[in-house]
Amino acid sequence: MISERAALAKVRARVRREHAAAEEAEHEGGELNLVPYLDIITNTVIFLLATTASVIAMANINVNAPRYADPAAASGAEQQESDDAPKLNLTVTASYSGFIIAGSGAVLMGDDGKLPTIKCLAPLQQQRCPVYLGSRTNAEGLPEPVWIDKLNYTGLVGKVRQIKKTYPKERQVILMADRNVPYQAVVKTMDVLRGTPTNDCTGGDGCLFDQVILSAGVE
Amino acid sequence: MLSPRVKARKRLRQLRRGLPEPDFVSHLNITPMMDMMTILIVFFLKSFSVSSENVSLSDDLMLPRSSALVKTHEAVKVTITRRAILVEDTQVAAVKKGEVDASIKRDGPSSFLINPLLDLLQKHATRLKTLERRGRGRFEGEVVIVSDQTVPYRLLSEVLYTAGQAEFAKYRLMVLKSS
Repeated sequence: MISERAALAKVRARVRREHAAAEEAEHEGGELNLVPYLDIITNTVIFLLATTASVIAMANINVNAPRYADPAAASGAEQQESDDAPKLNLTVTASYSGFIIAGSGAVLMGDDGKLPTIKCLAPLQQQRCPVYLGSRTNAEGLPEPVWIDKLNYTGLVGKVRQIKKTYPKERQVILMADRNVPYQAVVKTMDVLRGTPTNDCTGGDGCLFDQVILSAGVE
Repeated sequence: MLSPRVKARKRLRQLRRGLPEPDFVSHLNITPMMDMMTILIVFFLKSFSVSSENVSLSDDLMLPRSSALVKTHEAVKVTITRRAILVEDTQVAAVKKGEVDASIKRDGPSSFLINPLLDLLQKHATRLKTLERRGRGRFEGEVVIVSDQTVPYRLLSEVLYTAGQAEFAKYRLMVLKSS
């Protein structure tokens, strides 16, 4: 027969052991603490996602250089018709005074019988149609850039549509511009000549002239 | 009167009540989530470094807006900002008031050929042709033009002409989609 005291001491020792075992399991766990690392990774992923979202809206415009040496290698070669169909050689020039449209052997005159074919929408400033990046004050009183572009794109669309009706198979256009015409105006002219924001010009989709050949401007 | 053994059992039960409950979900297992996150981060970093779409816009380099929808494409990147011309992020010429200095052009101010640009583009052409000979990709003579919206047409045509002289004759103009 054991004494009551001895039995209780045994029990206490056992309980202490169990306490110690439970605490050890909680503290050590036997693996690395990955939580801070996870914090870093989550932050980086969110940051990368946010920056990607702001860069996505890019596109390309395909253009070609004029080639003189080998006409068979020219970009439009695959859709060249038989030789008896006269080539249009549509040439659009974004000049200082407005758009000049020309075909093979002829220049299209404006409504008053003079050049340019399509006039500037505003009176010329220093003999130039105003096309520049200006600045204006916005609602919060801060300056913000704004495009001032008085070239008559609507007039150009009308003329180009007429030409497309007469030559439905033509897709090629030679684009020129005067020395100081800004890039944005050239790109906008290409947009107008293409007609619709289409990906592949099949003809039935209202697409006008999508094969742009950039040519050096006249001095 | 209870025996000491029974008393001791009772005491043990009482003391055990003070122990924490045996908890099987003491902490979440985050290792699979870590795996996923690491894969995501590697994927993002990779798509970031490779893409030529990675154009950082600034006041000096603001792309024009266009209705074009054609997808962007990898090619040699020529950047024209308001202050410099760069090939694949290496500066080749300085730009002042929309013009490059006449001294680095082949025949003075009226020339279209920008000498340092031609040199570097020819190096790229040689490199791409060597790769083609070794069966890695094809040399199609494509350049991506990333240009500021205010760049005058003359400077643009000088760059395009020079690229043409270095056997790059297909141009892709990088624009922002206007929607």
